[in-house]
Amino acid sequence: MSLLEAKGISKHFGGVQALQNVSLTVEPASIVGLIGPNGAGKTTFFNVLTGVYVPDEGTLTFAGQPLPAGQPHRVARAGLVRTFQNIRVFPQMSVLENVMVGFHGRTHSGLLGAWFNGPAVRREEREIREGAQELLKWVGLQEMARRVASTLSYGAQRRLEIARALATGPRLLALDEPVAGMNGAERGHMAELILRIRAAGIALLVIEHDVRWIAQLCERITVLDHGQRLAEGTSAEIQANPQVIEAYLGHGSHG
Amino acid sequence: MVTFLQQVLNGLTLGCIYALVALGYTLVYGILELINFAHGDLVMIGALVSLTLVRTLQGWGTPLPVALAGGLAGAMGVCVLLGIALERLAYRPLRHAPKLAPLITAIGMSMVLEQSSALLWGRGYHSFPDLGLTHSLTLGGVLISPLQGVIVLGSLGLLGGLLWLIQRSALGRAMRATAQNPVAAQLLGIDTERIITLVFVIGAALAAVAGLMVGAYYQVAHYTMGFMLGLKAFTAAVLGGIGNLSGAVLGGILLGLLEALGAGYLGDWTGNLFGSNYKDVFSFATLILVLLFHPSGLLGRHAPEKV
Amino acid sequence: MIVPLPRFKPLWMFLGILLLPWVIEGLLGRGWVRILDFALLSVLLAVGLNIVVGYAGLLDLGFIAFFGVGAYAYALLASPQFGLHWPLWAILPTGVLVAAGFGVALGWPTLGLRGDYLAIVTMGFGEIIRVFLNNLTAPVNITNGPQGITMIDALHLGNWSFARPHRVLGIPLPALVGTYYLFLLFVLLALFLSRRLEYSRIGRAWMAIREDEIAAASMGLDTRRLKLLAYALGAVFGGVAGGLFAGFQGFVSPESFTLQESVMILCMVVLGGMGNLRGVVAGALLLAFLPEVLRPLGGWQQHWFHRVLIDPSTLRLLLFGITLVVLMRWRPEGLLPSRARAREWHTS
Repeated sequence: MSLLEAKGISKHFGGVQALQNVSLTVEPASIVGLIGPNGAGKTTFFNVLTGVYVPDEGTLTFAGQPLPAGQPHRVARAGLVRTFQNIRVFPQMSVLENVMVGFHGRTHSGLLGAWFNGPAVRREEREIREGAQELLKWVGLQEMARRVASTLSYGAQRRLEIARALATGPRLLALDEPVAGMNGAERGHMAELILRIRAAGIALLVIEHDVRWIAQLCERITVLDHGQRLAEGTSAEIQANPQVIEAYLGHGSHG
Repeated sequence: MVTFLQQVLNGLTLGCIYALVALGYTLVYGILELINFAHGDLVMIGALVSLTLVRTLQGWGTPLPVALAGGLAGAMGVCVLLGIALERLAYRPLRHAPKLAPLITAIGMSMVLEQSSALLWGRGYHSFPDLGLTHSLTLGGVLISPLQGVIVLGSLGLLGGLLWLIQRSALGRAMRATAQNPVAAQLLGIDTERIITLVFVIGAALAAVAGLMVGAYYQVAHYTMGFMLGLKAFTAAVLGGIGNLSGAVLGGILLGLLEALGAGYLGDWTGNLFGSNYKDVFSFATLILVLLFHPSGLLGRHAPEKV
Repeated sequence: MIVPLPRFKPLWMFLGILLLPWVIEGLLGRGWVRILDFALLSVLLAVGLNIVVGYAGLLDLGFIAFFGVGAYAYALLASPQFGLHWPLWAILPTGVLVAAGFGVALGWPTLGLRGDYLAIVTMGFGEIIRVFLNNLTAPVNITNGPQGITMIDALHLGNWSFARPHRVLGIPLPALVGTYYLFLLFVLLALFLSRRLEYSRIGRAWMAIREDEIAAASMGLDTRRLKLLAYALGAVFGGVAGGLFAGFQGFVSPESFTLQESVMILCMVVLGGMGNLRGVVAGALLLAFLPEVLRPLGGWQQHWFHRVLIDPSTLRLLLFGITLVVLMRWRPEGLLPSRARAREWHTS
């Protein structure tokens, strides 16, 4: 059974058809790429997927269950969590606190717990803290735990976003242009991190412009253009597809 | 039937005034996404200034039409200056601050305007000079005062002119462009700060007109009168779809009708348990219901938040 | 403010707070102890509003309505109005439930929407509550209209009335000082509960919502429920303060619950520093005493100009307005800010 199955997704804003009949599947613990020129509808698709927008048509199935449309927090709790193209860490919270927030949906202590602060609550809080530190170590930010998030470099903020997303315990991590604005070495590190996440049993759906970079990572790639699915196939097939080359690579964004 | 028509007429009069004020809210919200809480207080100042001027001019023996024109001009002048000052001194410095800041400033400015008026005009009620326009005609049993006619026709004329300006003129195009995407508008050479000032000027001028009308209609002015009026006008703007100009007009008139009919019939329906003393609750309940079931309003489009 | 372990400095502070009413009575007279008691209620209100505005970042302009709801709940359950005379321990939980119910009922439709709608809806709610308080006299006379409800039972626990002087261990305890200790207890409890929340999983979630609501929701935070919780909690604090107010003052009328009062409490929170308890307490005390400082102004004007040019209560409200505007412009984080809050204001 596929982990994520999006069938015939359409979405329009006023007169603009942002997505038209887009389908996509992600298998458990696989890496799928989503590419396309600017304005092709990639981020809109992400927003539909993660419940920020409600699709006009189409169905979304995640691990056999329909995804709650228009309810981001329930999508996240179902195990599908995302990062943002324009980084959205909680800017004035510490790096550690950012990741601790990610644990919210998996933990339980409520109002009375906060007030009485009993052993169970303190244990949970300690587990959240240790889990967050563990994740920071995993993405290579353990030295920065006490820093204020907004003071981190661009690349570090991207990794923080990923650590925060991992804290929710996802089965599918959706990354929106994770290497935008990064140099070669940083891209290499990000690729290595993505492979490690996959090795931990988490599937990934990655939006990217850089076809070469994404082709070396993904099993399968879907190409969007003008809100429609232009092609779908293995990395090699996509790179050899003349339609794709025409619509996308032909614009000179290769490399 | 006669009662019904009477209430419709009263509601229409009230609705036209709401529409004038609602436009001020919706114009500012359309561009700055800010609820200008002080807008209702501009209406109050419009009413008090025009009242004072009309009285003074009449005291000097000026004929009524001239006194009225003078009162209106003076009120518009004062309100426009206040509107510009409000924008420049209070809101502009906070353009890029967190959203809470301009909201709190707006409520602070509302307080400042109200209490300054209390200092200038005192805390009592001021009766509006008799404009001699209240001798009602009877039309099929319905009482129509010339004043109601002036209010309805005058405000519909103003509203029509304004809608035309914004839909058709180059200036209106610049305003709409700024509302839709301020950054892009700026890149296209539109002086967005000037447009924002202009929006405050238009809103304040309309508030002054509405102030004179509401003062003349109820024949009384008071330093706290702007609050409830502002709240209702805002409700009208939300009802029509905030940011949408025709929506504000439609919402204003609808709310006026709803309130007049509600006040007229609610007492009958409930065996006088809920009489017209609850009419203020009416518009508020409308606001909640609209927000609950159709937050984008009647004519508003739901704009997706940028992610 | 909170004393987890009696270390040296907190101990002195604690003693100072305990002795404060005696010192004030000795130096300034009994009237000022009464003002101090009211000031503590203001602190309670400000701490409640701080949960809504300071922690969750929601602007509530009708907060005084919850104070009113609590006050009328107490008044109706402990006065000749209905012939009910419930004890405090029964009224308080009832008042808490009623206030929370109002908070949820009002927050529910609006909290899914943008924050500024909440501001205007709460503002309207504040006025509407007043309309009801003024008019709920038929078919059953519930609120007694603009005259309000009088002869409300004094605050009492068992046979111990806070309206009467007592003698404890041979020391005479004036009624106003006893009330001070009762209110102080509530304030300390409120501070304690607030502080615990601030540093809990929920407080962290509120902070995340305040900073980026969409990102917070995308990380699995039920933002609507969390905002509703903040809103209802604020309402509860306001309701409790209202109940104490009704019992202390002995009468309630709609006049005490105007928009101006809501703005005053907002002013306390903003002036002190949203999100920081120390600041909020300081702001509340400062502004609670302000009218008393301004009061002689009328007399001086009378003396010097033979008429009152500027009415002290108008001046007070004018100052509130100016304070809000000036603070937002130059020091939005308030006098004693929380560190994260200060950064939030200055970087976006």
